[in-house]
Amino acid sequence: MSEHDYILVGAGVAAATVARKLLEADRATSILILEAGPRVPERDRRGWWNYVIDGSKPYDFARDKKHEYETVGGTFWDFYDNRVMAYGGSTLHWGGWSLRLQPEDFHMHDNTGEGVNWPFDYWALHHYYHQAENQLSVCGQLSESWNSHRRDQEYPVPAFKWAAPDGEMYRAFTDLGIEPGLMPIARYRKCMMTGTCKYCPLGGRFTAQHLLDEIESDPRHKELRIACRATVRRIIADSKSKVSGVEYLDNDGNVYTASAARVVLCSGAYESPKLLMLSTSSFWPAGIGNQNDLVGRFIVSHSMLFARGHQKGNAECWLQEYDFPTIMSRTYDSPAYQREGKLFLFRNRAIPKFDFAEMMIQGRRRDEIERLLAGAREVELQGFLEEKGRFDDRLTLGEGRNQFGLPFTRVSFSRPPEVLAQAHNRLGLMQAVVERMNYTVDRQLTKVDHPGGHHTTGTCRMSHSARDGVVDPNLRVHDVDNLYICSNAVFPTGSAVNPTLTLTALSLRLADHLLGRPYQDAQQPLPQKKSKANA
Amino acid sequence: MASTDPHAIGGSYCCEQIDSALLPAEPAPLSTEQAESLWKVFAAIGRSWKNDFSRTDSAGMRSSWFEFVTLRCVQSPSYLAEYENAVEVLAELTRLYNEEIAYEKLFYGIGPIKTQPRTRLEHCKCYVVNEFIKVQIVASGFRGFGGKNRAMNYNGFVRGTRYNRIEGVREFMPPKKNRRAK
Repeated sequence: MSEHDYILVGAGVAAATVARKLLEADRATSILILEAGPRVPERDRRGWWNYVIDGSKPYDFARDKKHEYETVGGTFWDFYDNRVMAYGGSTLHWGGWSLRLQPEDFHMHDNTGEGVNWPFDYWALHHYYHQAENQLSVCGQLSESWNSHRRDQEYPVPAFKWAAPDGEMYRAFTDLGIEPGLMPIARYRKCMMTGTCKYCPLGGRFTAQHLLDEIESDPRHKELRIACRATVRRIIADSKSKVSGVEYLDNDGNVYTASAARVVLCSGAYESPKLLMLSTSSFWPAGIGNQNDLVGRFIVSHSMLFARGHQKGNAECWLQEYDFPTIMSRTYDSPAYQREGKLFLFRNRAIPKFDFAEMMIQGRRRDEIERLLAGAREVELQGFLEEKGRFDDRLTLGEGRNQFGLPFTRVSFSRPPEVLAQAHNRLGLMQAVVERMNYTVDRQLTKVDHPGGHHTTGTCRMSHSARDGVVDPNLRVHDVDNLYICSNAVFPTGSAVNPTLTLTALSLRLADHLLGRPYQDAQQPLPQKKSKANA
Repeated sequence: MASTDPHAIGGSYCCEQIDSALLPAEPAPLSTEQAESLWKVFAAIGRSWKNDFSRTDSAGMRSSWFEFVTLRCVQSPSYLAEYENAVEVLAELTRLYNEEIAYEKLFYGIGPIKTQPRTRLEHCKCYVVNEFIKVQIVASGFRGFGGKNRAMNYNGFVRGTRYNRIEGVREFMPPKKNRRAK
């Protein structure tokens, strides 16, 4: 008999969402959440002032250190600032950008001949996306053309207003046939636009901490336990088709085992595959679910594109007023661009930036600061370029363990020349926007950057068959009855947008499955018949 | 006594060489006198950069500053010893020059201190003056710049109780007919 109904490994948005929905159905559900990282105080005033004064945040120590990862392969894989290993996970530092995947993202192979399809289509997630947006309190506007498939699903919160510097880019976009849109952002409590999103003093931006705190403090949830500094080091397999629980360490290195009827890995795209690889046994010599050597493969993230420009004057004295971008466009995140690589565009909200305090600290007087403020101005258009996962690009275990006992990470990633060529082609388009805005392009700072691991996906991808992936359409590890993965790792394609909203939707969908409820599939709209006038 | 170095600012206390790390102190609150002395520095920053809020403080500058220095003192690592040092530095500078010249030298005569502070004067600049400047800017001081084009919001600025009835940022209003691209 298992001690718990569920063990959830990791305490980020996936675990928080799954746990909350399970407990809503039955408050007495026994759930053990094991998080390797620590609890970081939320809305701590001294911690917030430290952030304002010197930029340090209370969770900075919970990131990967340089010696804890290795990038091999032909293209540098950037681990810097990728994730936070703590209670609440990477939502402690995320920007809150919350976009749905587009319908075509689920049919990559059908549409391009490359990559793979998701084992279900957009309509399987349509209602869960709406629930996720309500959970995260996403603000946005429905009127944009790429939202047409949302039908009547309004955003729960109205969008932020356009910032003054957006106007130039708005006009350039429309002149070039690019549709401007407002970035959907996850709020949670009332946002007062303090511009300190990375450590909000009010809890205005959603973090999984809020959700975990809510369910943990609910007196009805007597069988919920959340343990931090509890590093799971292997999953215990009872047989080829069943796991009995996990083995984990506490902060002092003491070893414990915990048993559960079901185990769900909510550990992100790095730790989920590593834990499978570490869980070797006579039943699984290469690690659980790794019989076809697919665990850790197809690793992919977004490549970053930057187009920077400058002009001589800033008569309007524009500077950063929000800490998130407002203007964006999904014009190139559409079916026509899927074969060559979709592109998601957004303005760098931190430019133009003006640091009054630094000018004063340098000893500059008032009139000099005023002159500098009205002096040169910069703009930067940024883009996420979708890349397609490849078999040879993979994540494996590094040598050594970090401060939380998690194994180091090694990534081998090589971007093919044709993808780099496509990226430069897209960069040309972005430069055209900057030039249309009457800025001079800064050639040195206009570039295709290496992939940043912030949006890593694919390392335990979904598939119908164990030959093609690690988990099935229900997120259950192939051939194992009671082991699931709920993280970005399961995405078969990375798309061109941030993954967190999709992860939250998948978490809600998984919870329905775990509860034995039918999935809330939406009806796919029928193709519209062309009228005689349009024929 | 003033230093014999013609380029040095201050006297023997200001020029005393000390370790660059934060001066150690047990967490404890400021005394009223210490707080008032430090408030004078904060107010002088406002006067010097023409962000004079001494007559009206509807933006809550004083309460933001007071919360900041209180937290700096009563939680670890405590800044109490740094604030005590700053009070003594200002006292010496005021004795040697006069109050306004003391602030002039403190704000404009030392530079940003890119390396670690090495003297009591540099500690005052690094751990007190520089931080007070940052607090003042985010607590609405940024609005002192830009004239009619002044910003409405800034990173770190927390709007007051009327936050949902006044505009948060300088806005762009797209033309109605062009709100969706063709």
